[in-house]
Amino acid sequence: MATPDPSDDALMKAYAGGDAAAFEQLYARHQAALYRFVRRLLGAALSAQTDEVFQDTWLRVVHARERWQPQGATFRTWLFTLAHHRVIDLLRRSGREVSRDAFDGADGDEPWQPEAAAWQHWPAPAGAAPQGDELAFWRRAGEKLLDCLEQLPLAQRSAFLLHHDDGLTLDEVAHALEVGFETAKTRLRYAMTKLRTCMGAYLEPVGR
Amino acid sequence: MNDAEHDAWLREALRHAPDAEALPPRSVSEEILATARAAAGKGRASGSPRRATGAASDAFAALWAWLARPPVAAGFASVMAATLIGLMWWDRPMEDALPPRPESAVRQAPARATATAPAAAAEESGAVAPPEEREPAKRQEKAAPAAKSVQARSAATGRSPSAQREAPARSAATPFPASVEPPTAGTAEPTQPAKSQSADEKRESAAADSSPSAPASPTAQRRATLGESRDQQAGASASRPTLAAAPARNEIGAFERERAGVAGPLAPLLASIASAPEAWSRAGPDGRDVPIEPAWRDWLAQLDRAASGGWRALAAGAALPAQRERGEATVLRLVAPGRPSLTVRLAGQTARIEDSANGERWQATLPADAAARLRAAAERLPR
Repeated sequence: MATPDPSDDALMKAYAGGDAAAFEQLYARHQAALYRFVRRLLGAALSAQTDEVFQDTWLRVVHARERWQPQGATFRTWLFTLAHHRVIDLLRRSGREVSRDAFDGADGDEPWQPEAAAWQHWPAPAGAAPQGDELAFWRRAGEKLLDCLEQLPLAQRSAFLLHHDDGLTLDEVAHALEVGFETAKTRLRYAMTKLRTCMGAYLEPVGR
Repeated sequence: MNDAEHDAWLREALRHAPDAEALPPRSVSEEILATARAAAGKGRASGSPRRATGAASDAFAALWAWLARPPVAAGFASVMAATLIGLMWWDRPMEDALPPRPESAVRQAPARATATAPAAAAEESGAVAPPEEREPAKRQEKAAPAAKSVQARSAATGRSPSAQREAPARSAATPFPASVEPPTAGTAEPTQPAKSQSADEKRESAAADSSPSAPASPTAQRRATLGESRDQQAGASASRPTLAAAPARNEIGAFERERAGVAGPLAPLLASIASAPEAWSRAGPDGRDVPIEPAWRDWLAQLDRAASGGWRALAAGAALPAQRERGEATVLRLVAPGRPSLTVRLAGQTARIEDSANGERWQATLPADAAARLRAAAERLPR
């Protein structure tokens, strides 16, 4: 019977004790998600900085190994928090205005809702390995979604990515972004609404 | 079509985005892993000594982290502040803690010293101050430096502490008939009042610094009223010739004086007689009062010298030690207007003083030869 993989916290503790292999396991486990998160958070304009932010985040993990305490947050949440901070630092360095306001970008009212009919022509998302036209459709949808993501304020973008791409619960999202649960929920709601609008308005449905 | 379905589509689109399979460049990964391995190796290399002291440092770090928590830090700071304040005001009289009185308030209450001085003088002369005026011997000891500082200040200004006191304070401090000037030398010069003076003088000097037209604060007025009532109380007692001016007396006062090193009951009595001989008389053989003769005053002084500070206060209610009332006992009853009698009795080697004014009783055992000389001298004195 195979032994279950050690938890992130256990690996981090082992690494703090001098076990380099534990760090390699952690890195292998989270590198892809973290790299994607950083890249998508920075957007196309700053994608060249992805490597720098990604490396800086991991180096901070290395340097903080002896001080690291779980303190109620999982290692994964902490890792994304570090990356989020680095992205904010970079955006500020690059002269971009970074707002942490949950309602940043919102007009004060509920965003416009797309016509329901616009979604009727989308294929079902359940397919594990779409082929042919369906695959092409989802690729185009993915490209469009990245464009739409860049239109979101950083706070809403990070909430969306953490929840829908990296699978963090709302609690973990709130923890990672260091905001209250309701704030995280509001950010996510606004992000979803805007993305739905963006995607519904611009994506050409299949078969048209 | 609901939001959940829309979200599922968005997620699916995200999964198929062009960067979905993006990975960090190999060089970046290698650099990160190399740094991590180096750090781990360094940690392992220095791990042994670090772990050796790790337990202590971890415990300290944990304690520090606990102390750094806001509720704990706030509580700790509160305790420290309370302790500091407590130490600052430790054993300090409440009156000293109050702000200085304005001069107008000083005028309204004719010299706060009139209230405290009699009490202090009472301690010096043998009576016991009213309960609110009494202070433990410990405070007297602590007040001594304050008295010294007053004396030092007085020396600097070329005036004696008693000269610096206001006239009403001086007269009220006199533990004897009010019409009589206080004794100026020796035993009659109060030493203890200086301690009560120190606080008053501080207040008065502070009041002098302030504007004379400044209105008295409610606190000062209240205290001035208090001072007046104390003055009345003290004045009433000062009008009677007693060993002390304070109205309330008990045996505890005798013990306190004894502990404080006061010579005994005769010193203030002799001072009182010296300053106002006409106020004192003795009971004659036919029951009539006769003025006390200088010879009897000398005899009392000799008795006090023979006792050489050996006076012992007898506790209230305690049975008097057996003193045989033999025929050769010498008894001298001293009276003064407005006060009960004071009896000096010498029988054998035992000298005893009973002051009916305050119920105090003192006793001293004299050397045999001195007692014999005193008895012989008394035989020659007028009856």
